[in-house]
Amino acid sequence: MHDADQAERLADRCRPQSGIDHGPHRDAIIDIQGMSYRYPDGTLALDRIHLSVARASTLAVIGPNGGGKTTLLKILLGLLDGYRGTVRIAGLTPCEARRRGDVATWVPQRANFHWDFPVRLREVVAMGLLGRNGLFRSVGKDQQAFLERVLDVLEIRKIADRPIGDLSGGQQQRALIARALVPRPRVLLLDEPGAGLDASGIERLQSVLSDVKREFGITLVSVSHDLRRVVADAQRVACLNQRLHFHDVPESLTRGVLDRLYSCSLDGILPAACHHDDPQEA
Amino acid sequence: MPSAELPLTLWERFSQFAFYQHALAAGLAIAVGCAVLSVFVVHRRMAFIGQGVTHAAFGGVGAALFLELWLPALRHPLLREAIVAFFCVATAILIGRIGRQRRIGEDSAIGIVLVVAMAVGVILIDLRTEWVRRMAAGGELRAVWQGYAPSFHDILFGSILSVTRTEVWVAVGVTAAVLLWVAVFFRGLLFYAVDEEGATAFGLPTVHLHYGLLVALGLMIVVAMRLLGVILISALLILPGITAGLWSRRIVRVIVASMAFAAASLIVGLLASMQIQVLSTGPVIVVVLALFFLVSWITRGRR
Repeated sequence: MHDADQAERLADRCRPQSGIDHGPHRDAIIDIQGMSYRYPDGTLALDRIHLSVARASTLAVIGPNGGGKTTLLKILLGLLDGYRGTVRIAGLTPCEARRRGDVATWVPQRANFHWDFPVRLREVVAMGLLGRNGLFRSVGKDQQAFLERVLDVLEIRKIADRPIGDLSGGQQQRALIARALVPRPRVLLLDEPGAGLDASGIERLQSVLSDVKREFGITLVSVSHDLRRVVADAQRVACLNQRLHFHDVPESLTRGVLDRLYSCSLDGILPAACHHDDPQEA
Repeated sequence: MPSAELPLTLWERFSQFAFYQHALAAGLAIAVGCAVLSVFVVHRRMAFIGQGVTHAAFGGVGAALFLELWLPALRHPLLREAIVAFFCVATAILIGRIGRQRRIGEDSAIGIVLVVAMAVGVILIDLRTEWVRRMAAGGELRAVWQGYAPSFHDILFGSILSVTRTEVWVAVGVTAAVLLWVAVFFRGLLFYAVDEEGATAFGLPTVHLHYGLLVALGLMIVVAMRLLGVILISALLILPGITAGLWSRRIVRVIVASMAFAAASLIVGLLASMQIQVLSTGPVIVVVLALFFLVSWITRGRR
């Protein structure tokens, strides 16, 4: 069929947006300015979000379920359009970035994957190259070598020829991370990466993610509703509950911010810390 | 001549009667085409879509029979199939569209479309029957064209033994086109099948893959209807794929096994109805497929 034609039409659907490159944020790989989003039924999901993420940093977005975390990720991925404000990833709109297939890639929640489909882990990982290469170009030599390296770093090379459905939750999660890494993206967006993993699985995941970071120098943005699972190794933390309530180094998360976010007691989850209130809202 | 009194062997009957040869050729083509789609249908949990589209075909038959009464130009079996095809593909796309709305959901969309298409089909066929009767009474119908319509039995259960040479070519052509499409878009289809939203996020044209698969299904169903009929066709879209999935976890092997199961059941079904003439071929094929599944499930499925 006319794939070029289709690509053209999809590209056409990217809304033209006037490029505003704010001085202080020019180095940011992700730059969100005053972005709001309403669900199709009119409910406000995200309210005037400002967020900039430095290159090769790690950001953890936490917040209660229904607070707009996944919506934020989907906007960054170009899966949801119709937001207001400015969103740039590596200087591109999310839609343009999605079309390229190698700017920001996604590690979705494991629940949305048909695990019983008869494919092998290696095949799932190689799918990550389809967007970048297009449906008809085969995997190049360099890409194949890089894919093997990703399998090594994520410690899934030995099980690469096994059916994806036979693997453990942690192995499946690492397969999805590998799939997102093979097109050599600038940004990796992880949606609830720890979901469904036990304590040792999470530990393993975290060590693998820091290996990924060291090896590939990539920007990591992960989203989670479980504070204990992400905050530990993130350089920056954003708390999202419709509005962005905080954005600073993790040690400075305050009890007040968390209470407001979750409207419940958080004793024992995080150490109380010093700073309070949100510079963005000032 | 004493030899004429001996019953013909299966092979003699097969080689003497063109309709058996047509049935085998068209049947194999359709079985293989459905078997390949079946792997995607089963694993993407689209089995119910096949169900919806086949029942829409019933509405399509009704519409075709009704229209040709008023537009004599349409009184050609191929045109009739074209109308049914249009109906099936349109329904497939409609299901795809309605199903994408979060508030309705695919299963409800299919439920609606399925019953409406069936009901409309029955109404149109009833109306046609009545008008044909009146026109015949008023002498408006030429004797040659007595308003032939396939029986309900044929629509519902198929009539593989009345397949014409032209229909064989249509079946082979449609199957070839569907297989070509699957082969060309194979890698994209796999990604779409395991993780549709993920595929979209990675920049794949999933909308086109989604509707492409629905159109392929619609076309395959139209030609397969002649063999198995509206009711039984979903057997060919579900059983081969699910049986093959019990034997292997590698996609290419699953597809090959699926084709083998479908082709084998077709051959066995055809032989059985050649041997025991009262048996309709379609139901026998379904029973054979079900036996393959049962044996596979008992030996492989409960690991």
